[in-house]
Amino acid sequence: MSMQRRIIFDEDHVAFRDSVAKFVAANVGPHASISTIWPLAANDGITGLSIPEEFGGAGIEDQRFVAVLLEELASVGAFGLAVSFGQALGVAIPALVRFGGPGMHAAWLPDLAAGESLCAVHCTDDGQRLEPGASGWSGSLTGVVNGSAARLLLVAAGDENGASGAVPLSIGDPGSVTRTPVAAWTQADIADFRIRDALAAEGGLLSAEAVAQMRSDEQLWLAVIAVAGARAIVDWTLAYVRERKVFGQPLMRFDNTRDVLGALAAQLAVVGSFIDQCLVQRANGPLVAAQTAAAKLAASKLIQISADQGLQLHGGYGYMREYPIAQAFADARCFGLLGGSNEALKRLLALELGSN
Amino acid sequence: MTNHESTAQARRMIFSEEQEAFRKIVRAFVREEMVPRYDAWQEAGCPDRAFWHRCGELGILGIDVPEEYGGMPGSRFTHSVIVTEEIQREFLAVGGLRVQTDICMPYFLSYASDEQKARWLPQLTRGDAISALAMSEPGAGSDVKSMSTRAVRDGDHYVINGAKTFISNGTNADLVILAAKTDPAAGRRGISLIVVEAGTPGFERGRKLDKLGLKAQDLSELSFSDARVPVANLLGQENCGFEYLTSNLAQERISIAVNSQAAASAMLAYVTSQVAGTGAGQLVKFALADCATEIAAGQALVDSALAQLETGTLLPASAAMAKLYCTELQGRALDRCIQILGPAGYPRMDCKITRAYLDGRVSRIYAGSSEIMKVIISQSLGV
Repeated sequence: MSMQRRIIFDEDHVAFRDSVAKFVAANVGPHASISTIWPLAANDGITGLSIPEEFGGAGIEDQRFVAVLLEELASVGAFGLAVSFGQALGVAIPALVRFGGPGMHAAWLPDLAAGESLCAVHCTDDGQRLEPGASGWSGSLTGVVNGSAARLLLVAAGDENGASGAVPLSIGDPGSVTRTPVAAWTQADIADFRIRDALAAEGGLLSAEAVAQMRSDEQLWLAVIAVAGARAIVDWTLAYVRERKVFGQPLMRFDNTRDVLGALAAQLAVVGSFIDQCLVQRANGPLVAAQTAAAKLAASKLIQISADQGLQLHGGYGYMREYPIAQAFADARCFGLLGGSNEALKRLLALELGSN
Repeated sequence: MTNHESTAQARRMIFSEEQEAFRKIVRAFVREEMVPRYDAWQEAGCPDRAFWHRCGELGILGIDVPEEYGGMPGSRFTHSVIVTEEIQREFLAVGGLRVQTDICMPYFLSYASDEQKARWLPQLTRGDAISALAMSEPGAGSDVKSMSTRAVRDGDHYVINGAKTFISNGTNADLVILAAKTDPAAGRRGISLIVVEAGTPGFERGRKLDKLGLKAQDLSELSFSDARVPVANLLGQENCGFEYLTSNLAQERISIAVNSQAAASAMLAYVTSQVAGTGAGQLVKFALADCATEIAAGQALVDSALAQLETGTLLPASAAMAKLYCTELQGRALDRCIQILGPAGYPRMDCKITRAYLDGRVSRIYAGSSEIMKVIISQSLGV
């Protein structure tokens, strides 16, 4: 949609977008998953984007490059992969780089840059965390993105008062990980963990500030993916309704079609603009919780309604897997649930309202 | 007794004791014979033939059919409602059964000659023959009259050419009620219903369609290349097909409304049982209250339509309202229930709600989309 030029990107981002689009076209097929794509992405220098050069990365601090990658994945309907890369590149690695000590950097960053290992992270404020015991950290985690493909897991830890930090764990015991069959975000190698008396990997815990950054970033990237996904869905739907004839004319000519698309276009402009503002501000450090909560809430609702209405405009074909709108409908539903439910976000926003 | 339970009791007043006895038999059949096989049916893309024979044995395929043709004595459409509700209680999607009993059978009963009934009904009621209704085409979905499948009279036969898509039971059907143009110049007055039997040369099964959900439901394309079908297979009168379709669509839409309503009710009951005793917060309580209220409204609407169907007074607009409301309600209720269950539910395959949500999405599209229902309803308002 050319209604607004994305003024937040410069020619370097545009060039990167072209190369990512080529990578996606060449590598992301129907059976792709993060475990197959992550090493391929490393070959193209993607996994090391924000890793300092001394550890084999590109040392790029500008997070808009991450946004471009996630948007390109979302634009072909590869939502699971987009979320996977978001968690690894956008949440875990920046936190490791900023808050991890030299030991942790040396132990993990080179392998991540080289695509030889993948990081999963679960710091969402959903009550799931590890608790300290006499012999180590224990807890159960469900629905961890990248879980079954990752060698490193960063997970929120604390006690009944909440998370006070994040434990880095080296996933050694295969028995502790169970792959979760899912109907959406299927490329993200989602898994459940049962962790018993695990010891923190090299470098010890990351701080509470790191957890706050990871929560904020998780929401930001999900918002970015959701808006890009909504844009793609509207584009696919527009193409369909221009072609498809019913009662002798293109579906696009009907008032109902225009009403639905017009409302979505307005929402895309507004929500897209807010997300772009967030992306620009991210250059100055992690965003406050209320801002990313608002972004994720709005973007989640937008992708869900776009997918539902886009599917409806496709008619029977919208239910057929050969059309990307079908799986997009299944994928869209996750955004309001995972990485911070809509209800949790609204609660946070309401509490923040009172504190200004 | 809670208020919800007393509403449910009131609901059961529309069923007789004999029907409630039938419900027990069906419930046992679903639990003992369908649930254990359902995964295999999802793999195969359809239920096995043994399922159809069992449905025949239990009388399900003979609902509302005269006894002389293998029908279940004293049965009415309400019996089929019971079957649909019991299947949905276990969150199974076996819509091909409703296609046979609720959608195709009425065409045979209303428009088949005595000779045709004697030929076809016994096999249908025994479960030896599966039926399908072939209306939609790649280029004609909502706009039924613009179909292009052509049936040309040639002596004692029709020669049929064309393609159909989105045909439930298409892969396995032994008897396909095909809607085809016998007079292309006459628009809606040029459509005939012709029964095409499996094995007819020139009649090919096309692709099994890969759907978002409904994995155990057979949906496919059909193609006809100079397929020769005896004129003796014409249902009713030539060129009256559109009228027949229109008058039968009301029952089809009620059948779908019943299914969507049952799916929403079953999910509410499941989620409520999951939430009970967990110290649910206010948002969960309010969401469940919203669901329960909408579901009660949907139940009242569909039960009222069922009563009108029984007495032959069901208007197309009333059927359209029930279909529109109950399918949209299913979408809203499942969406709320997903949110209530949280990450322990969607999108995990080990949670019932995931499959129910994806299975349910098509209900707002098939048998006339919500938009088409609104066209019908607004016409009845005289605008």
